[in-house]
Amino acid sequence: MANKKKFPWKEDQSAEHNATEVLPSLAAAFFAQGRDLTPQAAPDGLHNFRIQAKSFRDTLELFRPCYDRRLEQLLKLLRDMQQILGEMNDLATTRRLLTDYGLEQSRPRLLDSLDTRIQEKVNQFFSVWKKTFAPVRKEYRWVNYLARRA
Amino acid sequence: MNKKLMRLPIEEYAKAQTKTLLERLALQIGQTAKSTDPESVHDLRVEVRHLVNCFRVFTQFFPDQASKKIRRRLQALKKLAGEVRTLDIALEVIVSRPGVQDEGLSAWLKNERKKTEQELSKALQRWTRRKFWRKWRGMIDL
Repeated sequence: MANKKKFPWKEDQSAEHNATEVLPSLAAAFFAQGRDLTPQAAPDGLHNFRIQAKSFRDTLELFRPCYDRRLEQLLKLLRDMQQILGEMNDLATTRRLLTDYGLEQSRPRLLDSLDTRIQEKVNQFFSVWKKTFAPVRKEYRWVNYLARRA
Repeated sequence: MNKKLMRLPIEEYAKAQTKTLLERLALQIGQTAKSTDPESVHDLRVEVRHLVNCFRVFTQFFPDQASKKIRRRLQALKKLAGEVRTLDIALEVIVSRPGVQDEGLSAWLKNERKKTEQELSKALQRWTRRKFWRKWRGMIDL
């Protein structure tokens, strides 16, 4: 997985130079993983993607000083998408907690309602992904921006 | 954009960013040690996550042994805060569920939360007393 590999930093180069060399490939990896997602793969696939998106955004934020204000617009798109995945995860976490404590028998309606809401979040995610990230031009926009030096 | 920072050699930049995140975490630990309300516990997890990611991204600039030790300690803290956070999430999800009241479940979750919160609180007070950030700054040469 992309976030396990060692980053190829060039020690004789500036932070800006390194960011423009390395971050575009992180963006490409993020888009590639997103493109592979299918509603059938949810929720495990979405859970892994949520983790990758988090680590991608955290890494971009580490390089905030190297980019202009447009980075904030891109980060906002990520945050909005992560919000949906986060809400989906909250519902799944609650469901797991109730099951772990053996409460699924006594509260079947609650679990059904959680399942319905999880599915709504899955649908919402795919709708946002399709509109905001899936078109190839969107990936180019990210990769080109991150590769450009000030 | 910060022209001074962005022109730094990558290793110096990595250390500057790590130092900033370490200071932010120290501050947040102090705040969460005083009040373990849901927002504060969430903020603590976020700060821990940022620092863990920073060590992962810039791993080559830190002594292996020290970096591993710090990351292990951070993960342990994140786990402890995560146990409280899980209960906060469950309370929020269940309370926000329209049309259904489950007083028994809410009371049980609140009670569990109190127990895990106490453990977290004790751990944070230990972290604050030991001034971990000073020790870590020495270990990773910041």
